[in-house]
Amino acid sequence: MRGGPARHDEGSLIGRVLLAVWPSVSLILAVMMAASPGFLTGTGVGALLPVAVIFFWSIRRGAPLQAVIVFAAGLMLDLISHGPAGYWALVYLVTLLMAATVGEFANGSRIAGAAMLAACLALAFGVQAAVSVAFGAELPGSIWMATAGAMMMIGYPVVAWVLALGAERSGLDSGTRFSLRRLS
Amino acid sequence: MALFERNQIFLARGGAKPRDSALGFLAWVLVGVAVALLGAGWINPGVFGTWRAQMVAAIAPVAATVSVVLEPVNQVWVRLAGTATAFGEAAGLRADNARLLAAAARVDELERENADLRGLTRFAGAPGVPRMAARVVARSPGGLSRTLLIGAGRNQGIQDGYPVIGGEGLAGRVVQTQDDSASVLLLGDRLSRVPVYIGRQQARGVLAGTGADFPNLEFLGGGSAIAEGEMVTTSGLGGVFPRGLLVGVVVRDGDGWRVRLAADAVPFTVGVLQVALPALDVGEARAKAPERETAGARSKAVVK
Repeated sequence: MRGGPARHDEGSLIGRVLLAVWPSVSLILAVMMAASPGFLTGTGVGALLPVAVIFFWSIRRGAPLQAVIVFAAGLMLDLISHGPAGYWALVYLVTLLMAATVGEFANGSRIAGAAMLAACLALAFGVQAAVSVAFGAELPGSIWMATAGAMMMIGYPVVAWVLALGAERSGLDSGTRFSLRRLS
Repeated sequence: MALFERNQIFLARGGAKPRDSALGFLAWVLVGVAVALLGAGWINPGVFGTWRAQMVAAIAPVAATVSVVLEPVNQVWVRLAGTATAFGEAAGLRADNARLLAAAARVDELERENADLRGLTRFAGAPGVPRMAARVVARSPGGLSRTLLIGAGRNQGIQDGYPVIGGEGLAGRVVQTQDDSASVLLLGDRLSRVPVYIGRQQARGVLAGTGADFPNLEFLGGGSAIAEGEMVTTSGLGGVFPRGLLVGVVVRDGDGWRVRLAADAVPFTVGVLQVALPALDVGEARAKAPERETAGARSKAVVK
């Protein structure tokens, strides 16, 4: 038996519960962090954190993150930020669809994966910009957006590590081709 | 880090079946719902007001808890960001310091003169507007809105329209109150409009939020001679804000003018904003102070 915290068996009740809720819980936590006052203030990275979480879960086999959860998480951020209802919900849903689509082309290459994440981040910015124009708001500068995207790309491995840690403990990866258990 | 290495970060779904078509269909349906909600909000920004207030009231305690848990992390970020920008600001601050020292001497002189004149006219002075401090529990992460959610609401005496002060200047106003929380529309939000006076000549204008950091100055009075660096204060016209609250300073932007907000200097992290309570007189506000201190665990009542 290996040291460290025990990993829940896929068949155990706790394992099944964690397996069901961890992707959703991680997305809700990401949204709450994005709305937290002072969290990476002024960088624009906060709003991209849920995008990274959606990307992480969407490119995994089994697609454990449900569209309705993504919609609810986006709507929650709309409510907290007192913005127009549907804004963040739309951004995150479009990201989910994009990530699910490009995930089909993933071949395990980190470069390909990074390009896919960049595409998802660019799409998220694009939807934000389109809706902002429709509502008559001023667009953030392209340098600001590029910086925020680059910071999210750099920080993504940390996000992925945290999510993977939770996934392994809940046994979420036991059914995937690249099973953490098998690889470990 | 072993986990980091063995779990491919960009994990392929190789061999996986495409996402269920039913799930994809549901996602597209929800995209349609989101667009419909946006359309409704575009036509009438106040739509879903009651429903929104109820939902925010339910979410606010969770947001407050998360903000408390994340506060140490946020403080680290604020310190790091502050250190990074401090070097660039040092030179400017030295110049500002020299200018302020000269201004302070001038203020001393004016204060003495003012005291003499008050004594001559037996001027009693206007009572100060009572204020209370409230903790910021959430903020918009960018995008289309610039708002804050504060941990004080109707139960603490806050009402819609109350001005909110952040550090040195006006930050925004309360636009929606719940029992123990309230939403604050910041001056930079695209829906924010504030009548202002500019400079010593008190030229009239309207501070119009655009969603960017520096709001625009619009509807400037004819023949207004505005110079960069002039102070912008609330005019009190329209009755929403009291007159004389500091808003910021004028900066040039091409052919137009913008305002660098005074309240932007405050990192909304420790979350103590001042909410002016114009509906209460000073005595009433003081009487309510003990209630506020016990009513909200995270709303510190500081009535001046």
